[in-house]
Amino acid sequence: MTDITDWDQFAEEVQKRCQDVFDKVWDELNRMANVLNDAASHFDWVGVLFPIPKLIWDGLTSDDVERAIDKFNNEIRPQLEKKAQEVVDDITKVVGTLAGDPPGLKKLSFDYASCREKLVYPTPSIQSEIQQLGKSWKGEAYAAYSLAAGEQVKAMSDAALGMERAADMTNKGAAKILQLWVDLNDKLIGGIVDLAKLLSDATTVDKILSFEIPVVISAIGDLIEFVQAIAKTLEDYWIGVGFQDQLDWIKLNNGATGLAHNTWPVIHPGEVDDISNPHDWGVVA
Amino acid sequence: MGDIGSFAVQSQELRQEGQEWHTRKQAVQGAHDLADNGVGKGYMFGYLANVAHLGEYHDHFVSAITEAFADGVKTFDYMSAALESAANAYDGVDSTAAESADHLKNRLPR
Repeated sequence: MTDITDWDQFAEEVQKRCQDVFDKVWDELNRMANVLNDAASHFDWVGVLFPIPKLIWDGLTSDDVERAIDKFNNEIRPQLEKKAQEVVDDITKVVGTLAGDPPGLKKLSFDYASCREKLVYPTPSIQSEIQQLGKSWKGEAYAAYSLAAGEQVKAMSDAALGMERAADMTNKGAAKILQLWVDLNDKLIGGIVDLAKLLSDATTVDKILSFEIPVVISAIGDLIEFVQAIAKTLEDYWIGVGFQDQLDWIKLNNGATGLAHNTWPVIHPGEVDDISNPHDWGVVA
Repeated sequence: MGDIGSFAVQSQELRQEGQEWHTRKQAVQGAHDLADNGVGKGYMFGYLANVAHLGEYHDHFVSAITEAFADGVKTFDYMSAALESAANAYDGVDSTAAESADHLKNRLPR
């Protein structure tokens, strides 16, 4: 399991893995080329001493080596180079869609949590304050005020609940993005190991000759499967997000959670009149 | 505005309550400023923002709640001023101490 904390680090890790793919492919291709060169040079040297049309060395004829070289130059190398480039392009494209900012989201989640702290008001409660004020202020103005005050303070606690949910979900989003990055990077590491193992089988001219259709196709198949595995990881995250986080965000977005409709409650105009205009206040005996 | 008479009132209680609303107003202003940090930041959800519209929902929510907090600040300002005004009116401290009803109403969000 890799440890990734931000996008730059993730991008750097992926770039490193892609470079590893290229390096492995180039290393193996160079190694195959060396095997063929060694075999070819052996025939060149023997051919000087014994200039006969067909020589046999280590169970191979010079034709076998030539065929292997042709196969390497015309099929194996171009196909592997092309496929490696395609796979890296695919990975780069997929990773390009994953840009996000988990540290930024974490910071936001802390801000939202601080919102909640500000809105959750310390004692005394508004109810006790209203009751206390009722001992000093009576009449229609006080009645209107007590009603409006209760609604207004409830708006604070409702909004606090919404901000608490927003803080939790923003933090969860940050954690999911980080996990997705780590999972993808780990898949890349695993895929490169498999690729290297496959290519390293071609250690002799014989094996390079037989490296044609089945093995190359298999290698390509593995690479495609590898990219598909990345797509599957993304799909799994989509399902997780689609059924859980999305619903929570929709509820918050439409005001079903927290402050109703995400709008601050308006004080009824009648209450405003009663509170604002001293001439409307009644005299209490 | 002069003394409006013999209401069962102790203006000190009104002033104290007015101060409470002023403190609450500051709390909501603080909440507004913190929530405002998230306006337009839905893109930070990256991939998740795209596949499930989380960035869009986040931005809509934060914009709405930030606007709501701004309305809350104005409403609490009104509550504070209304109680202070009532206290002044009861006291009859001088001819300008109590705000006019229209002036008070103008403090409310539109």
